[in-house]
Amino acid sequence: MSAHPSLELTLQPSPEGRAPGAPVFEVQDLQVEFRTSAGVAKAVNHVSFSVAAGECLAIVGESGSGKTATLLAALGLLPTPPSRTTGGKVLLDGVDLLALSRRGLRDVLGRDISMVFQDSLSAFNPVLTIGRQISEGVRRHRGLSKKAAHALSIEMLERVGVPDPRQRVDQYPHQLSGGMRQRAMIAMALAGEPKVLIADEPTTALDVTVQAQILELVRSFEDLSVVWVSHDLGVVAGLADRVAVMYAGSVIEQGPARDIFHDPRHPYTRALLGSVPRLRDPDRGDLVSIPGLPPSLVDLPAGCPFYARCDVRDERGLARRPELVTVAPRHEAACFAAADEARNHG
Amino acid sequence: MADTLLEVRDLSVHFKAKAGARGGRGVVKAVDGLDFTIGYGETLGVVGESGCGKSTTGLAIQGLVKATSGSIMLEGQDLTTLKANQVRAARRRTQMVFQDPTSSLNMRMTVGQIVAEPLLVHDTVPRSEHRARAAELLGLVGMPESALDRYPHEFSGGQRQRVGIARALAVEPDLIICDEPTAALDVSIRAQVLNLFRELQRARDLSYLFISHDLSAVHHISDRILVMYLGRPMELASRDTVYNDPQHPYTVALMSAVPVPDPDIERNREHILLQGDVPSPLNPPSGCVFRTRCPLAQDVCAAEVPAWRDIGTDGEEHMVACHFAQPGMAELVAGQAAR
Repeated sequence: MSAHPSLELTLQPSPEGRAPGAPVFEVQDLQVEFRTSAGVAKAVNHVSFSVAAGECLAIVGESGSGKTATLLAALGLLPTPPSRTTGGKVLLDGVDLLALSRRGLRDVLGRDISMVFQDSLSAFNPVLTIGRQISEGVRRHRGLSKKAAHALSIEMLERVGVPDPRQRVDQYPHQLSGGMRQRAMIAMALAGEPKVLIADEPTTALDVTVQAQILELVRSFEDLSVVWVSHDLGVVAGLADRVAVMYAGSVIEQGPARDIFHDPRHPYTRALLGSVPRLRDPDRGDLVSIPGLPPSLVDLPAGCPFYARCDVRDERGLARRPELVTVAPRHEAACFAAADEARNHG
Repeated sequence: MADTLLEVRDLSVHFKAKAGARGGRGVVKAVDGLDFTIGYGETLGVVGESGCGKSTTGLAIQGLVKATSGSIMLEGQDLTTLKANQVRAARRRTQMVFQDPTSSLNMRMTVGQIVAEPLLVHDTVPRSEHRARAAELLGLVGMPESALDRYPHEFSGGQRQRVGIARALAVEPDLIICDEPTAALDVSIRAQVLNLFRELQRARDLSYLFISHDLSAVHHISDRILVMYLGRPMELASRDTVYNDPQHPYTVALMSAVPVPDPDIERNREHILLQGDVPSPLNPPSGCVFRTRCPLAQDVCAAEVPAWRDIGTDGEEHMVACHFAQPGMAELVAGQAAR
């Protein structure tokens, strides 16, 4: 390990997560609906999470679990209609973003909170140079001159590892490869020195060797608070201090990364982890597969949303929806069986 | 090793590139000098990053792109030189399962029609029995008979992929070419489909060419693994050898880049980071195509294309194309990359 001083640094904070500091970014009881032809889809149901300074929270879940909708709604980026945020607060340093005017929100986005997306091609304007687009945010939010912003753009591109930043800065998005464009997008997001980076599967479309570069890059910004959405549990294991697992629009378990991976309490989290083939498994039994499908968001059951697919269900889950309860230090699960177990053993 | 079903020798697929923005013209060597075999009941995994030629390899075997040179022998019959009247019979023996089950199923056809279409094309079963056969095939992939008269849009992604697999099974092929069959699926659904592939293999002695960029899935399902880079083969060995004793620096880097779903391992292991991106296939590096990103590259790598040679011991085949292939490559690359 001693040969890797830089690596040692990036190993902090430890997988147990650092002591919980004051939350920088906090989502409280967020509820979002979409009007669809089939009815009202309850995409986000009473979702709460928070992230402290320098902490990385990963939100995992499968398609349609509400990960992206939660983030977009939290930043006021969902088109209304068809969406409607029916309740909740989104606090940045105690200020509720959902209560801000459009103009007020625009001052926050890009300055205090930045977002990176899966598809870097559509995140850039195709007819403006990379440098112009990185400059736009810092000129607006930090009042830099055109010249200073251009210099900062070059510096940021260099920092995220884009080769020949002086040439790249004047090129257009299509002239960069996918991996380079993804790095440029991160440069754009971080140029304004935000407190919070919100990342929606930014490495999903990349090859693994390029993904490894991007993950290393994100790890190197140690003071940044990161909310990282992913369905790739391997990526999450390497990045997250804490993990929130979403299912059918709700957080069903959250806790320190090591606890979630080694001691998952919700049957869905357990099944999700068992369904991933592992490179290090010498023998290969059948993978855990979860029977059935998630419930329709238009017609959510009154009880536990995982009831129909659950292997530890009982009649309580049919009637009532389990609340998130503490099952271990800083570790919560929304499951009657998990709560019983915690009571009996704790 | 099992008897050989498919033998690919010196396969190349080249495409003429259209004039680019700068007026450049050229040849893309999508696949260049590829050798491998697949035994009966065996799964060969093909891994590599975008543009490495893994999908083109699958398409060439299925005859959906034309091989520029080389041979593709299926039980001794060369698929690249088929006469017009032999094509249909030969095609029946290899079938494909595609990445996107939404665009690879005709949305205007019922599931029953989709699954029975190969029967119609190949005329292997009397028409009166098509419906019964389609129901049987759906049963094999775990779909209810009631699916027959429904349309693809009525099913989830995982179920649609099952329909795609049922269609591939319809004409009882010997080899199924799976091109990223789980890439569009969620993890829990991916597990179901991977389990199904293995179940079907056990029951029917099927062979698979399993193409994917998902190394964990490939490692899970394959008997042997072929690693490709920029159209060229890098390494080919049993799944355990590729994982435990890779002797090509690219294989080492690729394995290292796969994140492990365990925070204790993932945060404490050494990551080998390759610099930069895959070079343009229009203008690949001279000599070894991997040398521009290889931490071990020397002058000889630019001058000479490394031979595709067998370094296996104890009769186990272990092919590699690297001037410096040697045991302990993982440590060597980690040491170099750390500098």
